[in-house]
Amino acid sequence: MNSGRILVVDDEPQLRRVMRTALTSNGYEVFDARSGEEALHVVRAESPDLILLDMNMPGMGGLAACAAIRGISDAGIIILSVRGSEQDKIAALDAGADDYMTKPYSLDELFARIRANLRRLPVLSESTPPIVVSDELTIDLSGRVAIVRGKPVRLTPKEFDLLQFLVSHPNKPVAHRKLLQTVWGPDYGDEVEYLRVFVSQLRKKIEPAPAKPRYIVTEPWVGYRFVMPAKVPVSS
Amino acid sequence: MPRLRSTALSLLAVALTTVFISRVVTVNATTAGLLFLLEILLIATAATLVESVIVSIAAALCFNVFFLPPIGRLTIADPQNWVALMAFLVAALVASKLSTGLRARQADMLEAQRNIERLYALSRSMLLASDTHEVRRLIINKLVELFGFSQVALFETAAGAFQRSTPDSIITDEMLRQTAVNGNVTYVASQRLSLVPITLGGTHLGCLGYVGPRLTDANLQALANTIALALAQSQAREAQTRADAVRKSEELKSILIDALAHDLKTPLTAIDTAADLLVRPQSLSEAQRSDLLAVIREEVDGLKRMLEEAIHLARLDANRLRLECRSLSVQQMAKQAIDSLGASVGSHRLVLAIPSGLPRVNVDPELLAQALKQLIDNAVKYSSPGSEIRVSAQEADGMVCISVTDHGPGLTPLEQARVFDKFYRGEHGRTGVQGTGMGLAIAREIVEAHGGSIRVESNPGLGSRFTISLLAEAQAGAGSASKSEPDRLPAAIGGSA
Repeated sequence: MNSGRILVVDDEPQLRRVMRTALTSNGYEVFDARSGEEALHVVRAESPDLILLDMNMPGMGGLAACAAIRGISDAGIIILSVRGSEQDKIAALDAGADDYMTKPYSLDELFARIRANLRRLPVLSESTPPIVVSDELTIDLSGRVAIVRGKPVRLTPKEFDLLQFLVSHPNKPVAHRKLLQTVWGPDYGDEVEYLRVFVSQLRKKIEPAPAKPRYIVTEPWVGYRFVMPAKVPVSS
Repeated sequence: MPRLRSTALSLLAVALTTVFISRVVTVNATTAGLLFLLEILLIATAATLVESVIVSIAAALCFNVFFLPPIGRLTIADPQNWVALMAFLVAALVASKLSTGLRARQADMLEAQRNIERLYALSRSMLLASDTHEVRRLIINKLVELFGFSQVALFETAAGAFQRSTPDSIITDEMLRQTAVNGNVTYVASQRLSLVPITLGGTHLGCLGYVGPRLTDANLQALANTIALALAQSQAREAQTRADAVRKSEELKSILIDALAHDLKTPLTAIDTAADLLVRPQSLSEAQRSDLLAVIREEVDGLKRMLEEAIHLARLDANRLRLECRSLSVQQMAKQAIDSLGASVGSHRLVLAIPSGLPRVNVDPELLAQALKQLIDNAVKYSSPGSEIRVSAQEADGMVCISVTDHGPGLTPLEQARVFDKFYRGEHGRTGVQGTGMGLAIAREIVEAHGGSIRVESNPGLGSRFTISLLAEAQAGAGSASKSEPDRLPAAIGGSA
């Protein structure tokens, strides 16, 4: 049986009822909200693990709600939308969503994505030493934070998983598919646009000059590579 | 050069006169003086001031030497000589002053008229231009052609575009841009270069630069204004066309895609998911099963309704509408509409305010009830639960007006103009509210088929009122009204056409 607390945000009452039945019968605890505004209240009060967010809602709308939720929560966000264009997906990911599904979807696919988004890379034991990449960047694997120029930077769970996987394969190109399957789950592999958005967000957070990345470099047509600068021997 | 020659000619004329009246026909001093005076006046009207003075002094000298005693000698002691000199001088001065003033005024008027003609030609040619680039090209060509400027350059701020009559112009981008920004007229005499800012109502539109004769301030201003108007007009026209095109294609796309995507896919998703859950071997409670079945039922009903509306509208479109009219009271009509609403009113408070004693109307009961239902449905969809929806009626000028008033978000004037268009859904409809954008179009088709009219009044933020106006039946008593039925409808339709 599954476990996890899921918030369903949809203005359509019938859809909320169906989702509630579908999720509770699969072992999840379910909250629901009719609008983005209501969703923010529930997120504050209940801190769910995952949010299923409808894109097309009256009031603040799905995209604005997504960005607002991302501002107060690290919970996974899956956007559910009737539109399936690349632009719509990227806009959603840019607003802080972790995943995007087009309505109507199959229940099996939805469950698979929910499982994937609730999953995290295993948290390493507290004794794992932080990885010092350079004077400016240290990655604390057990605390799941990056320290940039002495200051901890907040990364969303997916961003951190992505960074952790790249750092653990330093100076080697990692293929898109490999990254997607490790960080998102085995059902993923073709969503290269996810990587583009998440890598760009990571770069904004950890790179000194995001336009000219020093750590996470693009390997054209292949994937990404984490550049671990050679350790400069400390001169005596 | 020409002035020197005309002075010489004037002096020659004085000399010839002197010779003529002293040698050929001898006249006395008085006649001679008068002749000289006349000659000076004539010359002064055509000549400049300096010329006139020179000629009057020459005439005074000739008069003194040849006609005043002692003849043949210049005497300046006699006051008579001074009087003659002064008289000639004053005559010359006055005549010259008057005529130069007149001539200047006449030249000004000619110039002004020429300018008006040139500006008129300029603005007339602008009418043919289709875009701002074309307008700039025309302005430049016309300035060269009409005003005879050797170089013309125009900078339009909005487009950031520079355009010149000749590629290697002395008028630089920098000069034009600077003048456009600081708004000062500049004239560089050494290059005969003028720079004029083009402004309209305080807005800097650009700058005109030209090499050629300096125009007076008034003419320059008139020219700048003409150009400003032409630029502003073409900009407005371009913006309008652009906005129209974008709006049309964007709206159509988003309306159709949104309507189809949201209104079909959302219920489908719910049905799909519910059905999927029901066929799974998973353990669902009896309550869960029946709830899922209820969802499927409700969503299928919704889809069915939508399909019916679409077919209905298509039928109305194709003019296959057959009216089966009969005499009906407004109460009956409203009741029929409300009965057909069913559960969709939800928690809204439906208030009926239909006074008794209103004239009856001759309508197709089913269709009119449907039109009214669409209005109430619309009010339910776009106003918050619990708010009041008022259905009222009144008589005015032989018409029965039935209104549905809500406290929804209201409509902007633009939305009001388009709300009855097919597939149109307002700002608030685009996001979230279920509907096809067909309801109000259906209502309008039905009402217009009855020879009536439908309109909307709205206060953004406060609510909207939709009103159906139908021709009232003649107040001849309920009994006779139904007899005259067959004749009433054509009259009603004719009345509105």
